Amino acid sequence: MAHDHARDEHDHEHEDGHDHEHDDSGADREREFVRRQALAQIRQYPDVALRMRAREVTEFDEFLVQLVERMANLMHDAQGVGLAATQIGVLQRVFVFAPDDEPMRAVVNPRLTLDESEKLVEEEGCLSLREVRVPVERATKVVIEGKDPNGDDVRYELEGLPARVVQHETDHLDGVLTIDRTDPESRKQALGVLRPKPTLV
Amino acid sequence: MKRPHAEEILGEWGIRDVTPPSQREREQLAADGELNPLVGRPLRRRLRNFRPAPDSYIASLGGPLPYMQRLQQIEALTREHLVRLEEAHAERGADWPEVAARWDFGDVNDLIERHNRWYPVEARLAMDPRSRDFVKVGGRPYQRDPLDAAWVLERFPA
Repeated sequence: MAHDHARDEHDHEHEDGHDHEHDDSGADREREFVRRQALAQIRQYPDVALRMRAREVTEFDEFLVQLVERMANLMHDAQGVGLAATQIGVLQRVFVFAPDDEPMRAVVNPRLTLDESEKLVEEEGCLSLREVRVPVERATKVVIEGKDPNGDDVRYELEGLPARVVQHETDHLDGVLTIDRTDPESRKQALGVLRPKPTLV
Repeated sequence: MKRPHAEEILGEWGIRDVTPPSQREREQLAADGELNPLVGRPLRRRLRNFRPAPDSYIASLGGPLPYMQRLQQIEALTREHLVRLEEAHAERGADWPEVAARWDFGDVNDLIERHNRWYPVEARLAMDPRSRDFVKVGGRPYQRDPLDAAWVLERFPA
């Protein structure tokens, strides 16, 4: 899931009143370069991997730990707040998430319990649907259970943005995208944006 | 020959027959036009109906990507092993199978293991939804077999 860190950071620039214009532009360029490199490894719509249901993880080995580490780095570099394994073409039920400044957490074989009493519609972005932000209705509170990469049980009670992120990532593991959960008009607009654009060469 | 008959043969007035399937197709195209950014715009130059991928841009700016370099290293190291094996094979004794079994392929096998693990992720290798597996590369699976004694004896028999 994508979150607009760039906008947040822009809003907090120059709080100390000093002129960092030159340094900031250099840092911004470098951050954008790193972001593009990371996005180059994240599958983009309409890649079929995004529509496939991931398999349960059965082996908690070194590969899984490396996979989670790599996904966490990609998510961070791409300035996202969540990343599912299907988004990098690995059909295993594992995702990482780190909403806001919280530490990175990984959930393997997640089981989601929604508190349906309260729902909220908010705009969501996605690292696999780069230019698209669509309104999606989600439960505001969830409980997610599963394993960590070492095979130990984890259970998180989440509310607000973290709850939205884990619902978004769990959808990815089932081949469901935000454009499937939004209203028909937003979906139509999103598909128009996602349609391959002509490039004159 | 009558003029109308010639026109009928050549069909210069455009599409004449409308069959139910072609009618449905035209209606779909007309509806599709609502979302198509090309509608109403002249196509003055050659059109590429896709966007260049960022990895292509990066590769073109900064040289081969890591997975490409790793494949190059695998090829180079395999060639080096072949040269050394050829020399050793020329001087072989009765213990050649043991020499082949003891041959250290650690460097290249480590790269092969990393290639098998990460290549589809790094290269965004396409998936076949039917097989739920990655498509073949050049008609072969992308995975490479690690080098071992059998690989040696296949090329340099005892």
